[in-house]
Amino acid sequence: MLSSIFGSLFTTRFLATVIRLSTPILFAAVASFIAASTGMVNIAIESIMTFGALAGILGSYLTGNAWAGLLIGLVVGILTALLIALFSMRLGASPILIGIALNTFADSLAIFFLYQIAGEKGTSASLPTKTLPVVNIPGIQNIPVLGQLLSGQYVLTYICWIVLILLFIMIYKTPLGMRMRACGLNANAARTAGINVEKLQIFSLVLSGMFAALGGMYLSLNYLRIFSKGMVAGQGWMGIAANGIANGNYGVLLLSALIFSAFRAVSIVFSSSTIFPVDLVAAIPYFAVFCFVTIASIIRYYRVKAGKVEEQ
Amino acid sequence: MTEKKAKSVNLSITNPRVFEVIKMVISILIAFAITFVILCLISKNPVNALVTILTGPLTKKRYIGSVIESFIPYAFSGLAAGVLFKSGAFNLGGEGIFIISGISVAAVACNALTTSHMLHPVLCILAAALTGCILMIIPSFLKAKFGTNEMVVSLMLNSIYSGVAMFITRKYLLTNTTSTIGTKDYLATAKIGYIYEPLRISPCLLLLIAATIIMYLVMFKSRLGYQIRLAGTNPKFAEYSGISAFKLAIVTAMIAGTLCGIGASCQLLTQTSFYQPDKSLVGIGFSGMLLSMLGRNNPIGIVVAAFLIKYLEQGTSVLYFVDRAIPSEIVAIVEGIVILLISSQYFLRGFREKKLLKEGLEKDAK
Amino acid sequence: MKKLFASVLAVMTAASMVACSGGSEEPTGGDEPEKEGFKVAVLLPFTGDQSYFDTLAIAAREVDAADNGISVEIFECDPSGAADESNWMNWFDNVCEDGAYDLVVSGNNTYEGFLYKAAEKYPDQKFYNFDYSALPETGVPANLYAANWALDDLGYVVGALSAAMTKTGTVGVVVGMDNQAMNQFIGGYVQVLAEKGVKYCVSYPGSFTDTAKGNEVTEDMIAKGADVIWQVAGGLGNGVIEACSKHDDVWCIGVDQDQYLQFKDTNPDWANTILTSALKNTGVAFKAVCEMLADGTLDSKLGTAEAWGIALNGVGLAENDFYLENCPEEVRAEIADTLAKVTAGEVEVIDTLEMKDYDAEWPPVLNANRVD
Repeated sequence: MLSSIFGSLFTTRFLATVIRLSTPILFAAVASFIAASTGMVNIAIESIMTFGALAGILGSYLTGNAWAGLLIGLVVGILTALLIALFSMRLGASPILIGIALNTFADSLAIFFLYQIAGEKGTSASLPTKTLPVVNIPGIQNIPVLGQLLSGQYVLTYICWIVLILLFIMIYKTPLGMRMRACGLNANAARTAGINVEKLQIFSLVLSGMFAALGGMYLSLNYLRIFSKGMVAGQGWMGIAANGIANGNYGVLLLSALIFSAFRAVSIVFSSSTIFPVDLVAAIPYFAVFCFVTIASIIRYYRVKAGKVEEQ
Repeated sequence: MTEKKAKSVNLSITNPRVFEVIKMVISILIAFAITFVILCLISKNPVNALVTILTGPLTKKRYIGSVIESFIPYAFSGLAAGVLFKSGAFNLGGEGIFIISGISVAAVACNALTTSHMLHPVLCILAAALTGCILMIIPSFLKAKFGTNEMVVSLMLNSIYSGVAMFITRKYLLTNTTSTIGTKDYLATAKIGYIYEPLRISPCLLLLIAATIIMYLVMFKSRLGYQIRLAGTNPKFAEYSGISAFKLAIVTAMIAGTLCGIGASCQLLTQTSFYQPDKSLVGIGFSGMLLSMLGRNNPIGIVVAAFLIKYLEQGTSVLYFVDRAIPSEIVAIVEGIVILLISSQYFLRGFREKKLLKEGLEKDAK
Repeated sequence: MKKLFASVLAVMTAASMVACSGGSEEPTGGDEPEKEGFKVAVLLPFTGDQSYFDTLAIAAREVDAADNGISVEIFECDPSGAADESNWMNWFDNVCEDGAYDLVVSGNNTYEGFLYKAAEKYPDQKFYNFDYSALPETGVPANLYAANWALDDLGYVVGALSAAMTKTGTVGVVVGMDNQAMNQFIGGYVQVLAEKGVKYCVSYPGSFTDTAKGNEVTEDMIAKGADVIWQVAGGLGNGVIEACSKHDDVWCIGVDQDQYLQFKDTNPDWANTILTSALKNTGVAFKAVCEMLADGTLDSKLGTAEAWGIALNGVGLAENDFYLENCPEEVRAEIADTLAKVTAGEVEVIDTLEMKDYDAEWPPVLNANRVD
C-alpha cells in the first residue's frame, strides 16, 4: 500500500496535478510580493481571492460571457485594493487590521451578494455560467512527458505564467520597477529623490488586488467552474507565507509557492490511504512554512551575531 | 496679560478624548447610514428593520441573556489581543490558541477526573489556560530571540493547531454519533450552569468582570503595564530604559494566552455540549483582534465593544426571525464598516486640525 | 481625501444596487398575507449545501408554494454549524413560545439533541425529526415523530449498480468525513462489491466544502482505473462531478437528491455524467408528514420512530430518463431484483450503525477489497 502511494508521487500525473494546484498559490504569492515591494502590507489576499472568484462567476452569469466575467472580477479586485489603500494610507488605519477585518467578513459578504443575485447561499451551481477554457497547444501536447505538463492546462494557468515573466521584467528590468523597489527599501530616501511614493504604493496595491482576484477566478471560472463557500481554503495564506519566506527574492518566492502546491497535492494523495491521518497531512504545508521561517531566522540570527550579515 | 480662567472641561473637538468619542459616534452613524441604504434595497420596511436591529434584543429577557452569554468569550479574546497589540506585538495566534485550548477543555470535560460539580469546570478552565499560556509564547519567543516574523509564524500555527486539534479529536475523543467531527459529550459535572437563569448570567460573567478589572489595573496602574505600553509606543526607549524586551514579550504572551484559554472554556462549557474543532471556536480569535481595535486596546473599551457587537448580532437575528428576506450577513457588513471607520486615525483630522489652528491663532493674538 | 471617500461610498452603494436589482425570487418573508390553514416551521442550521439540508429545503419550499393550505417557513439558525446550545434553544423558543406553528421540524445527528430538549420543554407542540440517529434514552417523546433512513440498504444497491456498470472492474466512492455516521452510507456498498469481487477505492478528503480537493481525489481514483464513482460529500461532491465530467467513460453517482435534474438545465456537462443518484428522500417524507398534518392523521404517528426504507420510497435510486437511457435493460432488471430482495430482508446488509465495537469491526469490512 505504502509503495503504491509513493509510487503515485513520482508520476507525470502528479506533476500535472501540482501545476494545476499551483496557479492560485502563485497568484497569491505575487500579489503579496508586489505589495511588499513598495513597502505595503496586504494580508487581505484570501478575501480578495474570494471576492474575485465570486465576482468573476457572477459577472459571467450576468453578462453571459466568461471573459467579461474575468474583467468584472479584476475590477472588484482593484476596488478592494483601493479600499485598503484608502483606509491605510489616507485614513491611517493599520493595514494589518484592515486585512483581518476583510478576511473575517469576506465569506459573509460573498454569501450576501451571492444570495441577493442568485437566491442561493452555498454555491453558484444553480446558475448557468460560461466558464474559461482549457488550452491544448497543438505542437507541444505530443511531447512525451513535458507535453502533459505544458499543454492541456487551464487558460488562467498560462496567463499566470505570462504574468510571472512580465512581473519579473517589470520589477527588475524597468525604471518603474526600480523606483517601486526604492519605495520599499527606504521611502524617505525615495521621496527625496523625487519619486512619488504614494502613487507607486497605490499602484502596487492595485496590482496586488488584480493578481489576487485572478487567483480566485482561476478557481471559480476555470478549474472548478462554480463558486462555492470556502473554496479558497487557505491558499491566500499560503501565498502570503511564500512571500514571508522569500523576503524579496523572486526565485525563492516561486519555489516556495510550488513547494506548497506540492504539499497540497501530497495531502490529497494521502487522503485516500488509511495510514496517514488526514488532518495532520493537511497541516503539512503550514508546518513546512513554520519550519522554513523559523530556521531561516535562526540562521540569520547566528550569522548576524557572527558579524557576517548586516542587521536589518 | 494672562487672565485667570475658571477650570472647565474642554469640550471642543480639540480635546483628544472628546475627539475620539466624536469620531466613534460619527463612524457608527455612518455605518448605520450605509446599513440603512442597504436595507432600503432589500426590505420593504427599512425603518422598521433598523429599529428592530437596535431595539430587538430589549424585547425579551432571553435575547439579552443570549447577548450576555455569548459576548463573554469574545471579550476574553479581545482582552488577549489588546494586551498583545498594546505591547506592539503582531502575534495573531489567538485564533489557533482558542482552537487548541478547546481540546484541553474537551479532554478534561469528557473525563471523570472529579465528581465535584464545582471543581470539574475549574479544572477545565485551568487546563485551557495553561495550554493557551504555554503555546502563545512560541511566536513571541521566536520574535524576541531570533527576530522571526511573528505574524507569519502565528498565522501558520493557527492552521497547524487546527489540524492537530482535528487529529486529537479523531483519535482520542471522537463521538460516533454525529456526521461531523466532534468530541463526545461533556460529563454533566463539567458544564457551567447559570446563577440567574432568565438573563443567562453564569459565573463566567463574574470571571470576565474580574479579568477586566485586573487587566485595567495591570495595564494602567502597574509597573508591568507601564512597561508594556512603553514597549508598544517606543521600543527603543524602552530598551534603553533597561526593560528587558525579551521578558516583556514572554510575559505579554503568557497573559494573552491565558485569557484565550479562559475564553475558550467559557464558550464551550456554557454554550455547547461537545466540541467541534472546526466549528465551535472558529473566528473568536480573529474577532477579538478586531474588537481590541474598536476598544482602542483599552480593557474596558474592548469589553464594551464586544457587548455592543453581540447586541447588534442579536438584533439582526431578531430581525431575521421576523423577516427572512433580510439575511444575517447584514451584521457582518455593519461590523466591517464600523471597524474600518473607527480604526482610521486621520478621519476628521482635517476638521480637527483647522480648529486647533484657529485656537492657536487666537491664543497668540492675546 | 473626502472626494475619494465619497466616490468609494458611491461605488459601494451602486454595487449594492446592481447586486440587488438582479435579485431572484425572495423566500417567504413576513410580508405575505396570512394563509389560512397549517403553519410549519423548519429549523435548519443552514441551506445551500447542495445535498443534505437542501433536499429538505426544496421540499419545504414546494409544499409552501403549493395551494394546499400549508405554509412552511425555513429558519437558518446556525450558518457556521457551531451547534451552540443557547443559540439553538433561542430559536426553538422563538418558534415554540407562542404556539404559532402547528408543526416544528428539525433533526440531524449533530443538532437533534436540541430538538429533543425542545420537545420536552413544549409538550403541547408537535415536532418532527426528519433524520434521527439517536433517540432520547427515555424513548420517543409523545409529541415527536422521528424518521430515519435505511442508508445501508441504499449503499448496497449503489454498490450493486456500480458492480454491474463497471467496465474496468474498479469503482470508487468519495466520502466527506471518516466517521461512523458517514460510513453508514458505504457499509452495504463495500459489502456487495467485495462479494462480487469488484475492487473499490475509498477516499476521505475530510471536508464537505473543499471542491478542489474533491476534484483531485477523483482524478486520482480515475487514474487508478475507477470508472463508476459515487460521491457522498455534500458540497465537495461538486468537485467529484466536475472531475467525472471530464472523462467520457466515467460515471458519477450523486447523493441525497436527484443531481441529474439539479444540473440538467444549468450545467449539462455535469448532468450528463450523473448516471443516477442515491436518494435519501427526506423531501418525500416531509411532504407525507405535511399531508398527515393537514388531514389529522399525524397524531397517530407521534411518539413513534419509523424507518423509511426502500418500501416506503425513503431511499432508492433516481430513475429518471437519463438513467433509463443509459443503464442497460439487464442491469436495471438486476437492480430491481436486488431492491426487492433487500426490502424483503432476503439479503443481510451490514448495519454500520449497529456495530457493537465499531473500531474493531469496521476496518476489515472497509478494506475487504479496497484499492489503495
